[in-house]
Amino acid sequence: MKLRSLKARIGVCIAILMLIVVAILSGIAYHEFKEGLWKNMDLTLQSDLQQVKGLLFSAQGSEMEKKQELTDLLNAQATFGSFDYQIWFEDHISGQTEMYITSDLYHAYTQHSASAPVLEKSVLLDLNYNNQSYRAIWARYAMPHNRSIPGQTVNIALAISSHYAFHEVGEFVRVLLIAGAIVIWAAWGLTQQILRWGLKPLHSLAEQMSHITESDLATINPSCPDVHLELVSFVTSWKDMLARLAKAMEEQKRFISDAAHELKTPIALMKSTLQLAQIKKRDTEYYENTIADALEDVDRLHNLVNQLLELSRIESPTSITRREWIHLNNVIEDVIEYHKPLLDEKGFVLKPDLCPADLYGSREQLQCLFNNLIDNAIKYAPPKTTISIAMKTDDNSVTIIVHDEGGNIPQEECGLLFERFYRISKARDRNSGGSGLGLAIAKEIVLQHGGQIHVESNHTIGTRFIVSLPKNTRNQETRNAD
Amino acid sequence: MRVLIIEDEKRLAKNIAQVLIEHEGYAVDLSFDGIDGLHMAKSNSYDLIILDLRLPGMHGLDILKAIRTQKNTTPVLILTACGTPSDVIKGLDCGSDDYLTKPFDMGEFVARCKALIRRSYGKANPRITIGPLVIDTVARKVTLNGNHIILSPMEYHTLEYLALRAGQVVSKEELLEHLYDFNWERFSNVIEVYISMLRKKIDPQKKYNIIKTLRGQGYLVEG
Repeated sequence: MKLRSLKARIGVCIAILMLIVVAILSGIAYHEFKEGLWKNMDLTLQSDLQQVKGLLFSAQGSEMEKKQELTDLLNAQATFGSFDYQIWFEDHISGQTEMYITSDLYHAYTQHSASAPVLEKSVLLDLNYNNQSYRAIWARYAMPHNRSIPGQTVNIALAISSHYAFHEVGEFVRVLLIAGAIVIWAAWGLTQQILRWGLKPLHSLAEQMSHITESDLATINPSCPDVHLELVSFVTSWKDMLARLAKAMEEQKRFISDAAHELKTPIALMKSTLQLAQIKKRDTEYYENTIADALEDVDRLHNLVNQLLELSRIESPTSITRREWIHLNNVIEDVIEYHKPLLDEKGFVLKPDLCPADLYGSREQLQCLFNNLIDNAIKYAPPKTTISIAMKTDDNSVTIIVHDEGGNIPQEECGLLFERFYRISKARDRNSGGSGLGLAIAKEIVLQHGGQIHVESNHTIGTRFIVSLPKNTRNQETRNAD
Repeated sequence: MRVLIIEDEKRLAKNIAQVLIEHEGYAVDLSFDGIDGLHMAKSNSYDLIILDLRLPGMHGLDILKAIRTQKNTTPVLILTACGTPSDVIKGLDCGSDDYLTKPFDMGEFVARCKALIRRSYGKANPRITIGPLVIDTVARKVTLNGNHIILSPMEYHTLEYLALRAGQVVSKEELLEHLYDFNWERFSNVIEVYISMLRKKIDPQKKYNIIKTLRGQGYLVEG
């Protein structure tokens, strides 16, 4: 994905928005301004036309005087720039066009006309002449009919240079462009500033985050003094995440240190045994015992490593364990069969009370679960007592109770029993050969199957491990999907 | 020298007891759990306590603190699989004198034990000199004016203990307590026998009178 700056994006959006707004407003303003200017010119032209007409058609003055007056009048009006006029007659009969007023015609007209000339047509138009632009008015007057002057028309055209108006419009557009640019630039700058201010707490967090290492995860307490309301939930969840990470890291560290401790113990034992044999010459029996002891330590290490691997395999979210429909009673029977020799050796009586129950799960893991529970009973129950396995089933779940006559687990330690490397204080005798992982593995397997495990223990009932596993496959599928 | 080992791993406890007995001739008491270990440490006087940390019943550091609050100055060597620097610092700060992590070397372990005992009696030099007598505690050899004297293990231990406590009066009971373990039948005339044998061996002409008898009090070796 291509990275784009939020600032740039929002800036561009705001700038485009402002550009559109400024353009519309400028367009309206430009239009109004131009309209006003043109209207002004038109009004000037019209009033001038009236004056010219008045002058032209009045009875007083000679032609020369009128021309002079006309020139003076128009020169006086030429404030906007150059001003020009043209007056001509059209003879409808001869089809000739006469420029300027001839004395005769004029007199004839002024002397004999009975009524005022009639305005036939008046047009306002823009002209371009000699690369100069003009606003012009053209009026056409029909002369009243009389005998001496047959149907004639007088045209009056007045043109005023619109150069000044265009100049004004140009100025106005320049002002509009500059103002628009300033507005857009200010909007861009303001947006950047607001965003910078808004993102400041994030920058400060990022700065703090960059200094966090795995070792000070637990002690870190990020401070965001002026965090905005919108970012509070982000900062809170970020802090929560840190706390969760710290906890997970702590648990991981504890697990590793416990595992190291458990691994080092048999190594220390083996090393001390072997060194002791080496210190001086011993008899054959001593060496034989040493070898047997060392082998026992190797077995213990092997067992521990296997269980560690088992645990990590079960826990791993990517672990691929084949799940299928299995007969749980058959699985338990297999496990009992497997333990028969050891049970007989220690004089235990095993009473299974099984009923058929089908379950969707991992055969291998469920075998491991019951292996560990029976192992546990063999290790901690007094020899020559009874171990019983009872099974109950209903529509939704299967409950299995593994019972022994041990009953020496203190109430407050029952919950801790499933913690890794936990051994209850009284039974913490390594000679039992336990790694301290069996029940942790059992719990993990039960959880993976969506079930529950707990323990009850006292002197009257003994110790009871109660496992309940759901039959419903969908639960397990969703749990796996999680 | 008498050593208490508090270690729940029975075979390991027996192994280190064996090396201390075979190699150094120490008297060794064993305890396999915390509560019993603390009781033994309180009720007997030891020259050294070897302490594991993760013990059933009571944590090693709690035992250590309990011993130290009783103003017991016996050197304590922590022997544990917990070997991170913070564990070591915690152990030493709780009042232990040394810290050794499992798995360890037996030779190193024994050397540390000897050094701790030597130090606890204020001796820096492993060769102790008393007038013409020189006791090499490493080679366990005794010489008088350069002449090697052959002693039995018990005679040597008696002499070594008296020499370590040179300048102090040592009672017969103290000698018994520090030279024999918990299971020994205690007869104080055993000590008298060893003392007279020692005197004959190191000073047959009775020229130096190294081991003095203070009637009703005990024995004294001048430093």
